[in-house]
Amino acid sequence: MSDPLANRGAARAFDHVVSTDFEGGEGVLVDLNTRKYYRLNETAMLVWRGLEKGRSLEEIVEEMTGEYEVTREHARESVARILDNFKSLRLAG
Amino acid sequence: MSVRNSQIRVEVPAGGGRAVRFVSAEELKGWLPVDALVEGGRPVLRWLDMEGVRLAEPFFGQTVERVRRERPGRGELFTDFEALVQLEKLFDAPRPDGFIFHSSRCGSTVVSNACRALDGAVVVSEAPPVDKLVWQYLRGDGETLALLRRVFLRAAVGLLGRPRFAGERRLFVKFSCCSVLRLSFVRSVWQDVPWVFVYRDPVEVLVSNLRTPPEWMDFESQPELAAAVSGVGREGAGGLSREEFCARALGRFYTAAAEAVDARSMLVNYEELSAGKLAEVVRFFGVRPTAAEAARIKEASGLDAKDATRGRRFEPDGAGKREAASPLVREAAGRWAAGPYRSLLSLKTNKLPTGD
Repeated sequence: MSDPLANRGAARAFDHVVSTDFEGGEGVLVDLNTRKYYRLNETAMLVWRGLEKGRSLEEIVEEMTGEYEVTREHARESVARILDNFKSLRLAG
Repeated sequence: MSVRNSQIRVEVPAGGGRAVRFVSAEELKGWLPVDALVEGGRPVLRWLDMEGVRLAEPFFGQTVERVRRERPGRGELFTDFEALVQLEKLFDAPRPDGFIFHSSRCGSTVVSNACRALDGAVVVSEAPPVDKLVWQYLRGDGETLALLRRVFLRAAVGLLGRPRFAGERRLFVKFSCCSVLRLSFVRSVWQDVPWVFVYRDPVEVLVSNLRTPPEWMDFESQPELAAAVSGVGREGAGGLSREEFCARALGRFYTAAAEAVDARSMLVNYEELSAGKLAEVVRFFGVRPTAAEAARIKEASGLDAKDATRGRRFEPDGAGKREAASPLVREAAGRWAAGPYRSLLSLKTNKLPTGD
């Protein structure tokens, strides 16, 4: 099976997006250009915070496996899928 | 043009209309959201330049009035709600230390004044943006909107209560009486914040509310709020007598508080209010008052709580109000509010945890 994060360069959160999170871990992204709001679950929020802090995808995977009981493979797939969603919505690139 | 998340989009009055500008958080440092409105179907916040202005009056609205009266040239601007999210992040909004809910005309303002007597305290008292957000200001369903309401409420409270003067380190929020019906929503935002519910004999409250009706009793201009507060639906609320409307609302306020009682709550009956009780409330909020603070709390307990000039002494008026109650008031209070009131009293007798 191919590595979902292979051949991906650095990703970053666009600065026209503002995020806020809640104690339970979920959060909201606000796209200030389109004024659209997006509700994020705990995992997506973890990825977003990582992007905001300028972490590499590998570091985000590391954080996810440390935080949740998931295999490295599963975490890589999750990060790749969430990142694709962010990109398709023009929230990150 | 792409907006950066450090730029706040504001609309400023210009030539009879408004001009859009982008400002930094630093430029809004002294500004506070003073109202929430709907303009052309779009929810917006009205901001006022409150640089150098302490929230010193018993009610937030009184402070805003003073600023407008004394400094008519103070700037005003408007933003969308997303500005709350941007600014909350940039200003590092504080977590409240205590909440005050109440049944209206019941001594709750003396409680918030006691909190204001503490060193470093900021008291946000019945600020329209807060209560409007609590009161389902943003319409619609869905989980995203539900989360957004929580996000906006947290941000509005944090921005209004953020330290703007040296030494400010405590934040207390007093909600309008109707907001007790949304207590569970407020608590979904701040689960661990202790709260008090101040309440009073329904006959006395009814007499006061009928003499000088508060905004929430104006069911002609606010039919939806009236329907929700009275619990009888939009059509039904319009047909109620003022006595029945108010009594039903009081019954619902008492019931909402009783249902939410837990280890983080404290019930305070008007009859118990004294300097000692006020000190107990602030201890419940986690503050052990110093001698100087206790003296100021004592002073606050002897003043007319709603008088912004702090010049009038408190005069007990319970007996006078009971005597002034009409048969209709007594009947409505007995039918709709007396039962829930007695339930609250019995909860009190059952020794609630006070956090001490």
